[in-house]
Amino acid sequence: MSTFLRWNRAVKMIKIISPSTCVELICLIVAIIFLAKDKSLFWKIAIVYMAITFSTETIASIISKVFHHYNVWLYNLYILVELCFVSFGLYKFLKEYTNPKPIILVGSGLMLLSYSYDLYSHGITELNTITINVSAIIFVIYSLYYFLLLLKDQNFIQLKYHPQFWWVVGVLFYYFGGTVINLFDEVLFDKVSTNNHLRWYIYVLLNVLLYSFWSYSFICRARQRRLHL
Amino acid sequence: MQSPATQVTSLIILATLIFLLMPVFLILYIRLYNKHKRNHVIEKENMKQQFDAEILKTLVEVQDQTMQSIATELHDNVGQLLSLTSLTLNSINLTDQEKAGKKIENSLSLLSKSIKELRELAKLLHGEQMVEHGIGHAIDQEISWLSKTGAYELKVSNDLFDIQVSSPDKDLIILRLLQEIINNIIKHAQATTIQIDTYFSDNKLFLKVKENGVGFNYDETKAKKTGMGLNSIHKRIDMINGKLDLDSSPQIGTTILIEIPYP
Repeated sequence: MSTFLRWNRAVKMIKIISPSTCVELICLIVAIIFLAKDKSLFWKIAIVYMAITFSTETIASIISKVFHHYNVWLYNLYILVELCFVSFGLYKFLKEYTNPKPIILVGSGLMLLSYSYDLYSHGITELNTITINVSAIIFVIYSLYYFLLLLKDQNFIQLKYHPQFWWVVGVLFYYFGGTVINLFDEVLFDKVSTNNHLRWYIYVLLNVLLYSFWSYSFICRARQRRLHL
Repeated sequence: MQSPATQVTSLIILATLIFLLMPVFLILYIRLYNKHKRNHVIEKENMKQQFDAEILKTLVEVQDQTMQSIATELHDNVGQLLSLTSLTLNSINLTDQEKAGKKIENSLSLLSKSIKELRELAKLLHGEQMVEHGIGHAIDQEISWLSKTGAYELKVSNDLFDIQVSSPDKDLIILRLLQEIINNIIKHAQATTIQIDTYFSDNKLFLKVKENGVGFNYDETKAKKTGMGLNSIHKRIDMINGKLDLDSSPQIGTTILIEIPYP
């Protein structure tokens, strides 16, 4: 292989590595290390989900930066996985305090409706912004409801090492923190092209927050499992 | 002056920061609330431990009281009866068959009396677990023991035999309260008549003890903290969220009404 080809490949590799893929990879590694032996279905699925997330992000970067094609369709497919996983996680954690079936069913129905509407209105090649907005609102409501139940519960828990709590904190930060760029996407960004960079930075920040909290929750989960809490 | 693009950028950054700060404050609030909850749980555990310790202390005191009663009874009653039996049997002259027969008869009578007294003692020993049969029986046992002294005219109305609910911990404390009140009457009151009323109404158990003794100044005694028995009664009643109403007048007597949420 010539030096030029090697150099060219190295440049392409650097291009596909982004802060988001890095933090996702770290989170995936943490998940594999700390959750591999977990018997709980949710935590096992968390490893699979992180693998899907990292793969999606990497493939999307390759499609965009190496082949210079649109990768939105991939993100639109990934949204479905994301919605299922986060809904399942919140269902599982809310179940510790109440019967969450009705609200999860209503939320899932709304998300499915908005996803269908997005697909119907502009197909798979444009980002499903309505689904993203609707799901963000629903997940914020679920997270706040979880915290309310946590506060109302008479039993005291050690928050510092409570994996469920930190997992939901990650969800709240990501979806609530992304409210500005989600809700005012068209108003704020379409008029000023330079703000697209800002959007990217904010997404990176949100990803770093989400996967940091999740990584910490995976570590707490391993401790919880070890101590049979 | 800032360009529109810079203004929008600043607005986005500010709004996002605010939206990120809100979860931070929420987490801080949850952490603080959880800390309070932890303190509350610890406090509750401490209170439970104190309650358990007090129950154990009460149990020991009830047992002590029983042992004291048994010791007194053995020394003053059964011991005397057996000594008398021994003396009577020793003094038998077999040559005088008529007298010997009478003495043997007397000895048998003394022995059967001793056996009866021992049975009563056995009942008292068994009475250590008497709260297991219900507070009504426990109080009845205590009163019957008091009546045996013959020192007081007793008027008793015990309506706690057939109550359908029970609380073993509270029963033990109630029994100990009654024992302490009776002890105080025996030691200090110089009473001749004691009236004991117990009844259950509206999920509350009432215990009323009235005597015609010398009485005392309740406020003064309470302020001096000299009445150790009284302090102990107060402490135990507080522990089970009960109420104490004490009315005492010098030379007239004392009436104590205890009201306890039950079970």
